[in-house]
Amino acid sequence: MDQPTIILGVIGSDCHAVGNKILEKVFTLHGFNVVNLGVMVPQDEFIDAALETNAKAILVSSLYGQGELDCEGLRGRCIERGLENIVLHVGGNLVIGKQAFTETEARFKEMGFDRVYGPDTNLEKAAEELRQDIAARA
Amino acid sequence: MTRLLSIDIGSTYTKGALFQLSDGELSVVAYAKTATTTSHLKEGFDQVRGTLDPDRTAPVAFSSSARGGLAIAAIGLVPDLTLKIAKQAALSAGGKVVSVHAYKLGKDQRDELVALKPDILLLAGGTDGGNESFVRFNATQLAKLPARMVGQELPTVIYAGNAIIREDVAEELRAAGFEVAIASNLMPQMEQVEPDSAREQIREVFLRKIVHGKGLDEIVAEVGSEPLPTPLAVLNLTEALRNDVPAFGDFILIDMGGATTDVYSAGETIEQELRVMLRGVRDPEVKRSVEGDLGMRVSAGVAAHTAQAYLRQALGAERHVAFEAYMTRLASAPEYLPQAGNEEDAFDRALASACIHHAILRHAGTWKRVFTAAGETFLQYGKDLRQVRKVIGSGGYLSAIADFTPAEAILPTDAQRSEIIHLIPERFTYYRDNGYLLPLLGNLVGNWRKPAVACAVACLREEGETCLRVPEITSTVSNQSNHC
Ligand code: B12
Repeated sequence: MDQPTIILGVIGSDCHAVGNKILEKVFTLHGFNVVNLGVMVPQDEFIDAALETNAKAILVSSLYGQGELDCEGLRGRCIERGLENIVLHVGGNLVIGKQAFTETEARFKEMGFDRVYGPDTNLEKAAEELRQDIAARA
Repeated sequence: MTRLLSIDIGSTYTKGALFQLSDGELSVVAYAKTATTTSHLKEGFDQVRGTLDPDRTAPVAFSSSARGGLAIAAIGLVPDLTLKIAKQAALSAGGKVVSVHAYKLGKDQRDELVALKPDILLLAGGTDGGNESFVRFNATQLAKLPARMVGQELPTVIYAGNAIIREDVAEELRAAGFEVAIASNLMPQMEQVEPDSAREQIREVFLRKIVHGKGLDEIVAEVGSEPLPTPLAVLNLTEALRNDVPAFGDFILIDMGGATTDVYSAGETIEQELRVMLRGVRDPEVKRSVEGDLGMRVSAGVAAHTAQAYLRQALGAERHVAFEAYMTRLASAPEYLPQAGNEEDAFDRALASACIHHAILRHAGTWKRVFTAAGETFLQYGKDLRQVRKVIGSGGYLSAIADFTPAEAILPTDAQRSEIIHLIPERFTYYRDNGYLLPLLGNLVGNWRKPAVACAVACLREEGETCLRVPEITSTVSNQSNHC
């Protein structure tokens, strides 16, 4: 399929809904088949959806400041449940306090995310990078 | 004026009613029942037919509960997605789910399938264009089964998974010796639920497998129509009532038999409220659940075990001992009926309450409370039945016992309540199918839909209202009061 399926959602108990709708629009326009799970999505629901749809990537958003807590262990759970190869991207308000973004980025990469985005991301570029990452895994 | 005959061949009794249709209205002329002649079903059928319509001129519609329905093993990918939908599709086709399997089928699960000898393997998994690897893996595992089932009838495989690989899967399984029927994908896209095609395939297998042998094919040849699985007849009636009589409103139908307790609910899945998030796939508007461990006779012993805590609380420790002794006696005499007013009669009531209690709580949706940065929020799983105002009782016991109502039985106990909130009706009027006509009217829905539905409404006897003291949900969510 030349329209790769991707799973989108806001993780944990985070209910910020606006950015999620924008992401759905933008990634659909860039030729992805977007399955949007909306807000307040537990880790396992991202994985459930990815398993059934044979998704190539999971895009996690976290806006409310608890991203690190909510994302911990997602990569391990993916592998455990049969998604060895999936691309994981995360974005939103991930920086806590006065931390530098590079530091936050490093922490999330250590957790197994392939890319980490801040709130002011250029989404065109993000879509392009997603395409590259998916191609690299194929 | 037309006369219509409807007959249901149950596992214990074959029952029938002769109806009269005049000016578009159905009325019951006569009712008859006899013990089911399990080795040759036509004998009992003929007896009932002969009693009700000696000239054999009235058109006949009939149903058969045939061993409690086709035994179906449901195989899906993710438990909360395709597996859940497969299970629901099997139940809504009138089948009996004997086992469920998620992800990859291992050796233990293959052993289980060989031992259970299901009639149907319902194989699902993957959206269209979605997952292939798990589904292909499972097909390959299933292909190993025929070698181990030599000399017995092989289950029919109904494939209702990812459509992209359906030809491959069918080819592999046919080569292994299975008969394979193809249905549309149960979940063609994420959270889009399409059970109809699989239901239709299950019905066709029912006709092929159940009709042949035991004399049903002779009945078909004689009366010129095919049987429905009994639960499907009831479901058809439930759906017709839901669609054709909107004024009747949302309702729950409890069909409690000796072996199972079936619950049907008609109503929308959600009542969207602020701070409530629906999780997982949506329940269908008309939903059926079947509890094989809850029943009044054949399953009384298992039910007593399942509902032990409930029964002990309801009866007190001392009477619970006597109750257990009664269960042991019932095990060897499942046809036994106690005299009204004696202690065993009271035990039957307690057992009926216990079956209803568990069957309703399993059927109804729940809210799980979670605390977020923005305060209290609820995750909803399944159907919200709080606004349902009618509960209907049918089946041998509920139809017969005039002064029994489910009332408080559907309330969760304190222990069950501590973790989650059960979305059960807050208050309801109880209606009794006192002539035990609903399954028989279900048979008529196909050809005489309007009169059958009207007759079903007319034959329900109103038994009174119950207001449950559902404990106040202490949060911003609950804006309606529980006082009535
Ligand atoms: C509106 C709003 C709310 C509304 C949300 C309404 C709704 N249902 O959507 C309400 C009032 C409910 C709310 C509540 C809260 N909020 Co608020 N909220 C905001 C606000 C003002 C705007 C959010 C918004 O819609 N932005 C516009 C969209 C387009 O941008 P976005 O969400 O950032 O998404 C974009 C990018 O982040 C990026 N992106 C996001 N994810 C991903 C993923 C990938 C892979 C990529 C490539 C890109 C990407 O692309 C998106 C699209 O452009 C922000 C402040 C702000 N200006 O951002 C605070 C803000 C997000 N909220 C905040 C907080 C703290 C809260 C509360 C905890 C406050 C409280 N104590 O009640 C609660 C949490 C509730 C909960 N359970 O989630 C903080 C978070 C602080 C932090 N992360 O460190 C913020 C930043 C305000 C602040 N400066 O303090 N909030």
